[in-house]
Amino acid sequence: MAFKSGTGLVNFLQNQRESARPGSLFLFIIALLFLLFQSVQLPGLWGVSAMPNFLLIIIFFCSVLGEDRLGHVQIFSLGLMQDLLMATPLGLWGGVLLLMHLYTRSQSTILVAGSFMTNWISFALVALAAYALIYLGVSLQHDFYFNFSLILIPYIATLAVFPVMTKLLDFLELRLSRIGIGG
Amino acid sequence: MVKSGIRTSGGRRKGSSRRRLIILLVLSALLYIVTRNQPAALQSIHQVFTDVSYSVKYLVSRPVVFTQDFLALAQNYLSLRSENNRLKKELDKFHQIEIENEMLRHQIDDYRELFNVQPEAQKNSIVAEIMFDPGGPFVRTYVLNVGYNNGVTVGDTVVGQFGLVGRIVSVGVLSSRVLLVTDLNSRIPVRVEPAGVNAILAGDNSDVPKILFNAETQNMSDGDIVMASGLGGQVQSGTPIGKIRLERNGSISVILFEKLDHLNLVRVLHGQQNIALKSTQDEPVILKTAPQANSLTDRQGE
Repeated sequence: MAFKSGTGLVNFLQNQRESARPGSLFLFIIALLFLLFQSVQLPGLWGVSAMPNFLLIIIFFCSVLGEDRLGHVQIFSLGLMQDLLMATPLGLWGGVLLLMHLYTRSQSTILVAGSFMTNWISFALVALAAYALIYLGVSLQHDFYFNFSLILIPYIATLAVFPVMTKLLDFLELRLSRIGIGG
Repeated sequence: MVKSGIRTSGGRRKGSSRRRLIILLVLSALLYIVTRNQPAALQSIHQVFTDVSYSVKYLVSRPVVFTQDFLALAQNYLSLRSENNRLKKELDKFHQIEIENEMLRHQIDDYRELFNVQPEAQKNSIVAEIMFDPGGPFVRTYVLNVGYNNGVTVGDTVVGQFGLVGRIVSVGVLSSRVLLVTDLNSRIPVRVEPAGVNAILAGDNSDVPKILFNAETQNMSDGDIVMASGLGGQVQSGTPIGKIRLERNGSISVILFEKLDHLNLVRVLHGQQNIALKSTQDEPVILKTAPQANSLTDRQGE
């Protein structure tokens, strides 16, 4: 009865399950793999890691396409994993990714109809805001303001891989819809 | 009727979705506040997560490692001739240094015997591979492929071929995390030679850590050698770290002997006598460090 009346955690999880599409699990796994790939040690530029943040691109891409591509809980979980991998306080990346998703959803009508360049510029702004929030969160944690290049280089790298990454995600989305679990 | 039904169901779904979002945002904020000061429980969760993701990351990192190895191989091959000439010259130089070192070692042994100095506890070492850099831009750490199973403990010193790399800050079953000397949270008691000045080496997340708490800056000059002082028992005394660089703004930086960006293998030093490592045949292999040069006890035994 409590299950049907739809209150509490059970309802919360049920709603999540209902809203999640079969393709969203696949996208979640893709995002998870890219998240792990981000942790691979690569030579840095001027001593700063130049690894792009693929997760930001994936979340932006999914948020533009629709609410149900990646659920809120999935985005939050990815953020938590990112926190655990980067040793940042738990909840920081989760919160930032959710805010990014929320903002992108609110602009999705313009973004879906917009050209690739519009999307790229919008992503540049959204990613900058996300990086700035992370920078602020970590600086508050350490009571120390880090060198800004620590986020500037990965930010530029993320913008640079955006076209290739969106092409790849487009391709995957197309494939998924063809086999009937996406699009 | 149908339209209003769809609208009502759509609105309900939108409402629940918004509620979910708000709950998660509040949860994020709460988690951030609770874990901001990195409590000990969070460190354990980090380590468990690192252990779990270890195998997946290993597979994911293989293409990158392969590409890096291939590029390094190609680069080596292209510069083979010049490299060979350079190495020949270096070898001659090192032969000379080796002879001088041998003489100095005998001299030190004689002095030790003369002053009845007890030798330092012998440190064992395990060779470990750096699996990945999980820290991102804000934390300077590496994850090693050795853990509790290999005898690694928190506080063990990690050195590279040329000098200090960092210290072990958390240990899992399969992996362990090294806090690099360049990390913001790293503080190591050091001695600057030949001035003989004690100071603290503090990381600031840049490639060059800084010297802190030292009033005798006038005694230091560019190129002075920085080594671990051993005070506080964190790092073995005499472990080489780097060279002094006096900055224009008056601060003192240390150029590390070990290039931390290009590390693949490191040694984990610890005080236990024997370390059991599993070989490929699943037979325990006992690793020991090279015996120290004729220590006082050995001589007494003779």
